[in-house]
Amino acid sequence: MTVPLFLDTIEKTNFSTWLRESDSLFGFYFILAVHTLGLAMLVGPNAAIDLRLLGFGREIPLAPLKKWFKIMWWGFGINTVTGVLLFWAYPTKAATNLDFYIKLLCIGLAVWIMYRLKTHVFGNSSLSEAAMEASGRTLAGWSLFLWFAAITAGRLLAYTYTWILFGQYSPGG
Amino acid sequence: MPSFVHPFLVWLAATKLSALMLQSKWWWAFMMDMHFVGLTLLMGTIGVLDMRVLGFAKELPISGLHKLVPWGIGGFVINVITGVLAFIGMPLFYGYDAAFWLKMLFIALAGVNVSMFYLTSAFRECEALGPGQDAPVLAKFIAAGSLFLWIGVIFLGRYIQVYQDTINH
Repeated sequence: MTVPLFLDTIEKTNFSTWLRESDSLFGFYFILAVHTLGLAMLVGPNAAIDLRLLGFGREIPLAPLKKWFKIMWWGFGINTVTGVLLFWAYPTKAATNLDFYIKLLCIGLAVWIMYRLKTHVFGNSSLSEAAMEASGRTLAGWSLFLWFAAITAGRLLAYTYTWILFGQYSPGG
Repeated sequence: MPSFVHPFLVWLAATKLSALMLQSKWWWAFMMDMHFVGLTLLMGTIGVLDMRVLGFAKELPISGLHKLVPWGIGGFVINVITGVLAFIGMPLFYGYDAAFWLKMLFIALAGVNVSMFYLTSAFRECEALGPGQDAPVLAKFIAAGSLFLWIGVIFLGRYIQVYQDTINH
């Protein structure tokens, strides 16, 4: 399968070029840093909630943890925006890398679990704390696994790509 | 840069352990992967505690959140180990990087900050708080400092790549 030409078209846009080559303080590395912060906002509290649902720190009442979902959704939003920008900077590098799709799949599944936890566990006010923990436990385990997988897939992006830019074969990072 | 640093970095770069760190890119990727897992554990537990002290989701009892802090410490330990191994792998790269040293300073300050929490009245007063109760001002300063420093560490870590070779040889 040949590399689609539209990726080259994206790379040749002013914005894509600016993202890659600008010396600005708010250029590529700033966007990457904000992406990491978004990760901390999204996965950090999510991991804490997962640990609690798995039975660690049982003094923590589950119901108030619902407030954290807002921050987690903001983290997801920040990372969607920064993620699109990072993709726009190196579209061929991402789009031709299987690992990139694995990352997106893991994130999609983890976020879907987060949504289910919010609506069916934390959103059901008729559930007792014990019932919340029982119904959320399995989801919490999968959530931790999927976020670990997403983080791993994300980190491996720098080591698994084959094209740095359209027409520039550079396997291995 | 003190005169003994450069010879030390050169010596470190020539060791077998240093070469071992660089032998496989998958090992390096694994170390960096664990470094992110560590940061997630740290931000998820200590960050959530800091936010509670500052007044976010006040129904959460501080003593309860405190029980998850060992996970955050575990994350920190993972990052010290992977960080030290990374430094051993590329001593001259990190050694002459301004962002790296600034990151180390922020981590040291975070250590000072956490000592303040436990050595002053802040910790005791926080542990005694029930759901919905406001934390004392000193504790809030410490919590704000903690969040600022760890977010700073995240940013500085990402800028290591940018600031390589920024310290004069």
